[in-house]
Amino acid sequence: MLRLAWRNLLRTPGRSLVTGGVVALVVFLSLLFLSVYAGAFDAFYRLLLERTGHLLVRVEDYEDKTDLESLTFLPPSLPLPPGAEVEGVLEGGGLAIVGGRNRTVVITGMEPRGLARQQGLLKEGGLPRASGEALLGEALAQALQVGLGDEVVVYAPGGFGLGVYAFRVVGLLDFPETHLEAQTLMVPLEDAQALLAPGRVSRLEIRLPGLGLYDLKALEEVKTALAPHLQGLKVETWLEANPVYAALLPLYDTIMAIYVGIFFVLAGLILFNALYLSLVERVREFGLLAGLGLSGRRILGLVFWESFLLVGVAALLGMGAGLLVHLELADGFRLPLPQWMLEQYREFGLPEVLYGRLGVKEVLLTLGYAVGVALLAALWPGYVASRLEPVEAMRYVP
Amino acid sequence: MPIIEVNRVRKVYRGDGVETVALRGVDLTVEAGEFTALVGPSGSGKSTLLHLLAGLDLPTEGEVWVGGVWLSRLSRSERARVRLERIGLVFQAYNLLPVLTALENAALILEFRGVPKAERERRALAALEALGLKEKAGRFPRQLSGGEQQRVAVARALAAEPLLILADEPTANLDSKNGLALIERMKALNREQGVTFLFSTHDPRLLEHVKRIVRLEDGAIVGEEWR
Ligand SMILES: Nc1ncnc2c1ncn2[C@@H]1O[C@H](COP(=O)(O)OP(=O)(O)OP(=O)(O)O)[C@@H](O)[C@H]1O
Ligand SMILES: [Mg+2]
Repeated sequence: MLRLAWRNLLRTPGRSLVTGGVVALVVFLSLLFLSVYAGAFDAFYRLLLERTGHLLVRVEDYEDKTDLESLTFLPPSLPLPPGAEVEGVLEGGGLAIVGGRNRTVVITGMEPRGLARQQGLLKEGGLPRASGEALLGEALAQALQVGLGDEVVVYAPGGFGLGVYAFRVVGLLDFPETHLEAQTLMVPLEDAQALLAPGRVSRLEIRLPGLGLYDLKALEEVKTALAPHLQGLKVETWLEANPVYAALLPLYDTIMAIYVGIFFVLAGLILFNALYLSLVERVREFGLLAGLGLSGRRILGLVFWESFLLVGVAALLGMGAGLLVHLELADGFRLPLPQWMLEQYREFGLPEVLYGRLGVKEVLLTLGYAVGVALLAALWPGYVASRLEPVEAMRYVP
Repeated sequence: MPIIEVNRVRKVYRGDGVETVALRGVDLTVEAGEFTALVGPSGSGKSTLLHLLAGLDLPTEGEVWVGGVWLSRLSRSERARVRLERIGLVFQAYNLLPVLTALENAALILEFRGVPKAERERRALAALEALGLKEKAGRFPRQLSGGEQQRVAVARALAAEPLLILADEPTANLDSKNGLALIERMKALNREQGVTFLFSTHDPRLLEHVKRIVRLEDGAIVGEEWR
C-alpha cells in the first residue's frame, strides 16, 4: 500500500514537487518565523525586566496614595539570595526653574547602577557622576532653554527635605514618548533624598542575576520568602508590575499558533488541490481497486498514505533547513528592517542584535500543523474515493 | 452445490426518469470446473449479469448465490470482501495499475489479502508463467501489448486462487488472433488447473472450443449449448 502510494506520487513528479515544495517552504518559514519572533519577544521582555528589576517593593496600595510621605519608606533589610542586587529609587514631583521659565517635572533619584542603565537613551553629554549633576529629557531642556553645563533649580515644596536644590545639566535623554521627555529629571539618589525625603525611597528594585527571563517559578519563591519581612510594603514580580505585558505573555503561544496556522492554511489548500486532482485523474483506478474488492476504508487509507508521504518528506526537508537557519539565528542576528524603523527600535532601548529561540514546543507545533494539514487535505478526496461505485468509476472518462 | 445460482433475477435501472429493464427473469446455474461463455448482442445484459454475480450491484428482484452466499444479504463492504477472497475479476479494459509492474499487478489481490511478499510473488510469478508472461514480469503495463495486459489481469485473478473467475469481454480490445489466444489460455487453465470461468463476449469466432455457451438476448436467456 505504501509502495503504491509512493509510486502514485512519483507519477506526477512536477505536481508532487511543487506541492511538497510549498509544504517544505511553509514548514521552513514557520520555524524561521517562530525563531525570529521569539527572539524579538525575548528582547522586549528582557528590556522590560531590565528596566523594572525582577522584584519591586513599594508601599501597600501605592496606587491610591498621593502624598510623598505615605508613598515613601525607609528601606528595610531583606533576606535575599546571595548575589541579589537591591537599588532604591525615589520619585517625586517638583518645579524646575531657569531664569523666568519653569516646568513641572518628575524628579527621579537613582543609584549609580540605575543611572548607568540610562546610557542607551543618552542623546548628548554623559551620566551624573557626582552630587548636583542631572540628566534632563531633551524636550524639557528645550522648554527651559538650557544645554549641557547650564544650571537648573528645582523646587519641591511638597516633600519634607530641603525643598530646593540646584543641578547642573550633564546629559540629555531621548525618549520615544515626548510627554515623558518633557518631564524627566534624573539625579543621584542622595540628591533626590536631600531634596524630597531624607533616607527614604519610593521603591526598591531587586535584581536576581542568574534567574532566567521566564523563570517565573523560582521568582515566586523568592517573593514568597520576602513577604513576612515587609510591614506596610508590598512586593511584586516584574510581570505583576507591568500588568499589560504580563497579560500578553500567556497569549504568546496562541498568537504564534494562529500566525503559523495561517501559513499552513495555504499549504493545506495546495495539498488539497493536488490530492483532488490526482483523485479526478485516477477515478478509473480507484474504481478498479474497489471492483477487485478493496474496501472503502482501505481506499481512504491509500489517499491518506499519499498525503502523509508527501507531507512527511516535505516537512522533514523543510524542518532540516529551518533548524539549520535557526542555529544561525540563535547566534544572533540583525533585524532586516529599514533604517528609520531601526531608529525607532533603538529609541525604545531594544537591542539591534536579537537571538533566535526555538523550543521543542515550537517544533512540535509546526510538525503538528503539518500532520493536521495532511489529514485535513486528504479527508475529502479520500472520502470521495472510498465512496466511488466501481462500475461507474471504471466507465468514467476524465 | 453449484458455484453460481441465479434465480428469477430481474434488474431494472432507473435514472433520469427512464426505466431500463436490463435483465428480465434470468435463471442460471454454474458448477465448479465449468468453462462458460455468455454471448449476446450489445445491450443484452451480459455486463449487468456479471456485475450482479461479482456483487458490484444488487438485483432488483430474485436471488444471486455465489459460493453458497446470498449476495443481497450482504452489505457493500461484505460484498467487497467476497470479491477479494473468492472471485477473480477481469474487466474489459483498464485492468492494471499503471504504476505497478506486471508482477506487482499480478500479486495485487494477494497483497490486499495480506499475503507475505515472498509468497505472493512466488504465486504471481507462477500465474504469469501459466499465461506465458514470465519474461515480462518486470515490465510496466505501458510496456505491454493489449493482449499481454489482459493476460496479466487473468494472472492476477489466477494467482489469488478464487472460487471462479468472471471476465466481462476480456477480448473486446484485442484483435481476433490475440482474442483467441487469450481464450485458449483460459481454456488451458480450466483444463489443467480446474479453474471455473464465466466470461462474456459478442464475438462468435472465439467460441469454437468453449464447452458451454449461454445466449442472452434482451435481458433473458434464450438458449444454451453444450459441446
Ligand atoms: N448504469 C446503467 N444505467 C442505466 N441503464 C443501464 C446501465 N447499465 C446498463 N444499462 C442498460 O441495461 C441494458 C443492458 O446493458 P449491459 O451493459 O448489461 O449490456 P451488454 O450485454 O453488456 O452490452 P455490451 O455488449 O454492449 O457490453 C442496456 O440496455 C443498457 O443500456
Ligand atoms: Mg457489456
